[in-house]
Amino acid sequence: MTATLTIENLRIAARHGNHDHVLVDGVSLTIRRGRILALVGASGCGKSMTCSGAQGVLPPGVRVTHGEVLHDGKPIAPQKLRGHVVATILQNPRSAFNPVQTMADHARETLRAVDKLDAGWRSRTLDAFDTVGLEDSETVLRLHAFEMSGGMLQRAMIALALLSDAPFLFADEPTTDLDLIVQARILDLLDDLARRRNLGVLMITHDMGVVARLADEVAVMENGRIIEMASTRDIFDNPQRIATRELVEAHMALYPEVA
Amino acid sequence: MTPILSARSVSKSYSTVSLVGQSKPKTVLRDIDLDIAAGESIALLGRSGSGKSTLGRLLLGFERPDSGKIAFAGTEIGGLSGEAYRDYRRSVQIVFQDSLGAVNPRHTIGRILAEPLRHLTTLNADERDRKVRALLMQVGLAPDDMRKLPTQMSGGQLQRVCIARAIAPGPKLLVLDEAVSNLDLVLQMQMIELLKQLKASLDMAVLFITHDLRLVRLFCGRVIVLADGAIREDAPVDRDLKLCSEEGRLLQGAILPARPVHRQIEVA
Repeated sequence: MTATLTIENLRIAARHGNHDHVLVDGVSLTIRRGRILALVGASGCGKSMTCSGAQGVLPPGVRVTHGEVLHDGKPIAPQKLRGHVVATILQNPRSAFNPVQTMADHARETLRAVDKLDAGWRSRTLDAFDTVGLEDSETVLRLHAFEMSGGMLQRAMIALALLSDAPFLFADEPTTDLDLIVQARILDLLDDLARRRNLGVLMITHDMGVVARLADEVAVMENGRIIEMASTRDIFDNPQRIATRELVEAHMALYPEVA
Repeated sequence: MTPILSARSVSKSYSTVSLVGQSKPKTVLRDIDLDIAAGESIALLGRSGSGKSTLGRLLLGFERPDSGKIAFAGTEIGGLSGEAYRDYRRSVQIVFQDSLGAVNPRHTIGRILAEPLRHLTTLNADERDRKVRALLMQVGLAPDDMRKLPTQMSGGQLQRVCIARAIAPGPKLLVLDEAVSNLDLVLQMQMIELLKQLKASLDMAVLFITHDLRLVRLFCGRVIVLADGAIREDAPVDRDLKLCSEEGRLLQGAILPARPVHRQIEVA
């Protein structure tokens, strides 16, 4: 039974001429099954880089210079991690799909990547589509990304993530491009799935409303470092660092009736 | 008083054309009536696909309505020409969501800001140069930023450049099409402050296209709820804004919580 995924002392740098430009500087995080950990911070602070670095999918010219990922305390290589232990959903569902492949193609590709492509793929894919609330799942199998709305695509991406049966889920700004009504439904879905399937979720976001909606714990990042880590309630009620206070204050300013 | 812009019974539909022929037209706006008065700040609220941006594009004259008319200071915009047309172009400006996609990546910030001044004003090169520096300061950037390229700026800075470009010709109406949606929360609040300040000092009307009702309360005096291409509600905004239409209530119900709501977790 897997219980934890730990990113330990992760350092990520880009090579500029003859010196390293440090983007992520000694980040350590533990994601527990059944818990949702939010990673928050301003644009460019290194949230997404941390997520990509842990899975070994950094852009060209950027590399991990230090640190490792531990699965239940044992080091695990990035290629063993992604798909098998960690499933990922991305911010922009529009660009995350191959435009010339159907949803069925994507499902097969996902299963092949984790050696689970067998005769039962079709019924398992239909089940996953049903689970995430994609109606008329038989039809959805035949659709291309351009034939679907943003909300449908994000549900499809979550369904593909579930197919792999990975115990952990990295969600990088999963609702940022969606309108409020679709966002609320996708967040309900993620919350529900995390609880029912006992997933450990790392949720990257800049919206403290998303954090308030479903996170158990919060890690705040600034300039490549984790500067504060606490329960969601403590982050809102008793923020310790200036950057955290700014985040909470900017968020509360959106709710003049509460402040 | 004549409104700056008015839409009367405006409808618009699109159809896609592919190798297998033309699809059935999809109606995106039906029978829209809207008046925008000087100095007003109106939110156009609706979910994805409700027709918000299409209405913005019609008001800007990027596209023609299929039926109905859009008038600038009382004259239908299709009939404007010469100085009257230039007056319309100066008077109605827009800021888009994706700032990087809205500028030429090879042009310097200075050139980007000078462009509307070259086309829409009579300023000479020296005056334009001074105006560009003043505009940069007006949006909280440094005059020296005019030498930079778009890729050398952050998303928040570049959106300030786009706002500066939009206010350059002295518009009477600024359309903001999800103009803060791509920014993080702290930057969004800073941008709202900047826009409030500019709106007051320049005496512009603002049409704020958004799906986030939280921002409406901070910035707008009137909210129009759009669903399936039709106006469902047109209401004044006050502190305890309560939308009454079905769509308005759905949007209001989808607002994320201000404070943590999750169930208490047992401490491990």
